Amino acid sequence: MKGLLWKDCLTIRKKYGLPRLVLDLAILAALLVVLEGTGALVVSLLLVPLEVTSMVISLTSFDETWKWDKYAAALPVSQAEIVKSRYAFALLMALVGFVVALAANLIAQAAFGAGSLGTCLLLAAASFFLTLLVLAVLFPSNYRLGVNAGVAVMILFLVAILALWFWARVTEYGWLVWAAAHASLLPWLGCGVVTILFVLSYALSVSLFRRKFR
Amino acid sequence: MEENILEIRHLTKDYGAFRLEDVSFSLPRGVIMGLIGENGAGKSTTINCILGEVEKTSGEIALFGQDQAAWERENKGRIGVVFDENHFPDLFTPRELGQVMAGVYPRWDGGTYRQFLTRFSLSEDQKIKDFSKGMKVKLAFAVALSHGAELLILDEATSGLDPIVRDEVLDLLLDFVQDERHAVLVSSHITSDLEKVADYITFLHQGKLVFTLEKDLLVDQYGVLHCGAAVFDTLDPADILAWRREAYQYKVLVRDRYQAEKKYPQALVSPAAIEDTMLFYVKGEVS
Repeated sequence: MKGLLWKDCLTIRKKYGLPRLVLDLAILAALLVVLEGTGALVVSLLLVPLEVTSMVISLTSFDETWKWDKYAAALPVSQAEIVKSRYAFALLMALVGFVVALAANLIAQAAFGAGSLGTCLLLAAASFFLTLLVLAVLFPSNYRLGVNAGVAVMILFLVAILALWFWARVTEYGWLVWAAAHASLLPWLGCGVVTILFVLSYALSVSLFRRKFR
Repeated sequence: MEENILEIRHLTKDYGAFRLEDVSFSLPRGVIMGLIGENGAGKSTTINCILGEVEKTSGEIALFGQDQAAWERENKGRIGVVFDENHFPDLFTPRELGQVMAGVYPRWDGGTYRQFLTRFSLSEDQKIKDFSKGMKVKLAFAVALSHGAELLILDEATSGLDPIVRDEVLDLLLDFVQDERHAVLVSSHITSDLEKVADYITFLHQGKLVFTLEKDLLVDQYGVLHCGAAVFDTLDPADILAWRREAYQYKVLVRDRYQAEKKYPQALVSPAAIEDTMLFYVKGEVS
């Protein structure tokens, strides 16, 4: 599995590399400057999850182009390990995203007095788990239908989020009352649910990947 | 050490529209076996079943004396594979590919890998996407031969290569089996290459095994008898393996051309190349 992880790392490094890193940092800086205190929120909940997700999902696209899975099936790794290495890489990238989100929040706090250290950690953690949630939905669809279908799923996912937001508006954000009453519980509940979903997603992906070889 | 590196018994794979049926053959150590057949005969399906790339419907596959499915991970570390097209990340250089493979194969030998790169005149730091087809195949061989593989499987690996590169590849295969501990299974349409290096030929046709024979027997003993209708009608059916009717003559595949020459002096008997034998079974009437 070590070799497969290194393959994914090298692919991301070679495909994106320094120019992309500079561009991302420039966008991050621009968001912080323009949006001031809320810039870190946008970075944490939009930029970082989007960027990490697109990088990880692009690996599926590359593998399809190279027909890597055909060769990987001949390597001394099990089919479950091939999927596990991709999920492990996704976790690593999400952790990188956590660090970036945390840094952005700390900069915003220092520059604009936005939030506290606890808020910074909470938003960085939210970024991490939001990334995992999106990947938990996208990975199985990629294994089942390929990377193009995965893009369609991502669009559906965004539509679902918009629908939820619309429903919240219609119900006059009634859920906020409930959330406020259970504010201390929510982060842990969210982490637990996303963790379980990520594990279930892995199990489903292994099953779907194995079906390709029947 | 088991005598047969690969044993296939009653292998069947049913795709619905195509069925590989009851294929059985063995590959001893120290042997190069050519796997031939027309497009869609089941060669790649057989190889995919051996590698575990597809699940067999029934039958048994034993690699290195062990059940293929039960010891899949361990066995694959002892198999080197070269496919017909490049599957390596073309963004990588051979050096980076070696780093990846070092983390995959437990017995990866970086020194041997670099030696093969030098032998094949492949730059360690040039991107794979800038390689020619021949260079990519050589790279695939370098990887396949650098992790202590005992069995080499080639799936149409030499198609599209120029004669010079193909010749280099054939020399590699002969070197590989020289110590009698290794074996090679080559699926190829280029039967002239198999005539040069193969010890055995296994012929698949429409998903069924036609024969597994020694190459020397096929090339030295089998023959094509050319005759007119009058002589054809006098032929002993036991002598006819397959026949084809052409515009002005009959062509008959015989098992022993020397015997046929003596028995049918009025007919012309020529040696049968592997390709001739294939054509008879695919396009002719089989007895």
